[in-house]
Amino acid sequence: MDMENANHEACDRILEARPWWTDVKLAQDVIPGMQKNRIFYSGPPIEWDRMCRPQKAAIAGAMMFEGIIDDFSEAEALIKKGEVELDINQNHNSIGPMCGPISASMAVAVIENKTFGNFAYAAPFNTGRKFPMYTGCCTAEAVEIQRWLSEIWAPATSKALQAIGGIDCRALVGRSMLMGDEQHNRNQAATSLLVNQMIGGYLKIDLPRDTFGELISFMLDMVEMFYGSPHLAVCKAMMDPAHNIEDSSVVTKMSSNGVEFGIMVSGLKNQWFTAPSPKVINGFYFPGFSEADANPDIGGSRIKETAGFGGMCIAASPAMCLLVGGKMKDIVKQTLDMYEITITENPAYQIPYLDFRGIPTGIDVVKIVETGITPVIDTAIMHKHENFPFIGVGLTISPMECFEKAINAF
Amino acid sequence: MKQTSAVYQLFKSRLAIVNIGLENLVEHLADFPVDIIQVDWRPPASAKMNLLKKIQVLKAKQPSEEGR
Repeated sequence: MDMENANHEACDRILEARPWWTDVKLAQDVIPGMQKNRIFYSGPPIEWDRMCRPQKAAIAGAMMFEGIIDDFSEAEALIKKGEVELDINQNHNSIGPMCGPISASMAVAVIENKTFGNFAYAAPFNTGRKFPMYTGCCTAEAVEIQRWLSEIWAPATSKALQAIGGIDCRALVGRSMLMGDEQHNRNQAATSLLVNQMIGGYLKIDLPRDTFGELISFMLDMVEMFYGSPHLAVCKAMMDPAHNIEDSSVVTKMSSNGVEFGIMVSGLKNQWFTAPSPKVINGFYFPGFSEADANPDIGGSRIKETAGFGGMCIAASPAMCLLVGGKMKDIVKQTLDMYEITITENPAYQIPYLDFRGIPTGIDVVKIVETGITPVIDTAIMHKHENFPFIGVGLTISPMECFEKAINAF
Repeated sequence: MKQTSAVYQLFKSRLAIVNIGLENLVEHLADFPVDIIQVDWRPPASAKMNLLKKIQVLKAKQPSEEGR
């Protein structure tokens, strides 16, 4: 196949994706290769000694949750002895926000791409600004909220999803984009639509009234961006069938571990192309925090931009002007730039302000190197030390070096 | 001396400005009586001739060349 046809094949597979949220399970029951002594994190792969501090803490938090250790300080010895094994989510059909720690007993969203029959799994769920393990919190509170998710929320939500036959995420996301979401830093509309459907599911199952209230208030009141984590697996389930098409220059994975930013390209097998993680720019910091506190770019959620969401279609979300600075014309310009480096548009997800154009789809390393434009990522900003929630939001310009390395590898 | 005179003549005449690239440079001239032509342009990738040559080869590659 020549490159043009290979790229069309890759893009067709992305456009044809029909991701459904079908279940919530424990990681050990669904994620290939997951075991009690394994912790997965956001790639690209990196050795323990080179990891950033919050990434280490997130892994320690997952080990505490599994009852392997009681404290952050105990993690390193067990990992260096090989008693606890680390691997990246991307090797196991899984994906997580920010540091992305996933362990055996964690509740994960099960997303099925009904067109191709592939599955993707996302965790941890968004737990608000209080105790997110995925930003490097390894406190008792962070562990406790994961336990509540696994023991209370997950079984009930699994039954509720079965009762309503799952959630058609293509339809849900398509509608939410008409309501101002871009699906990375803003998914309030998607979360509201999701909770509407989940209420129907919870009402169909035998659930104590108090538990019902607890479930709904968790998803809606405490975490207005609850849909953010499941959408990671939605994007991964959309992108995985587009990988491994010989000669295709379409980017199928982007992820950052806080030290290195990496990409994979469809026609270049499972090779990571990396560059140092860039600083997050245009940062809007929460009170008490500044750029001096920030870790470099980190997160498995760059899969959202890979699929065309977030910074790729930021013009879908006028509210983002308030968060990342600038005016409407700036976010329109940013989105128009993203069309310069993509192959097609996805009509299932439309941008109202651009006369309902489909989101830019099929990031092409050839176009990136030719134009000098790289994908822009809409991201939360993480503290460089452990035990902080995210400290702001901003933009990441993905580093050109990754894309140049990919071209050289063809 | 001759050159100085030519520059002086230029600024005595009505200016016509051609701006290539960043638009915000001409936004500030909008209040002045000058003619402006904006050219939509951005520098080609910082690359790297070897990468651009490689891309040309990749684009030209036909299935038959690979025997597929």
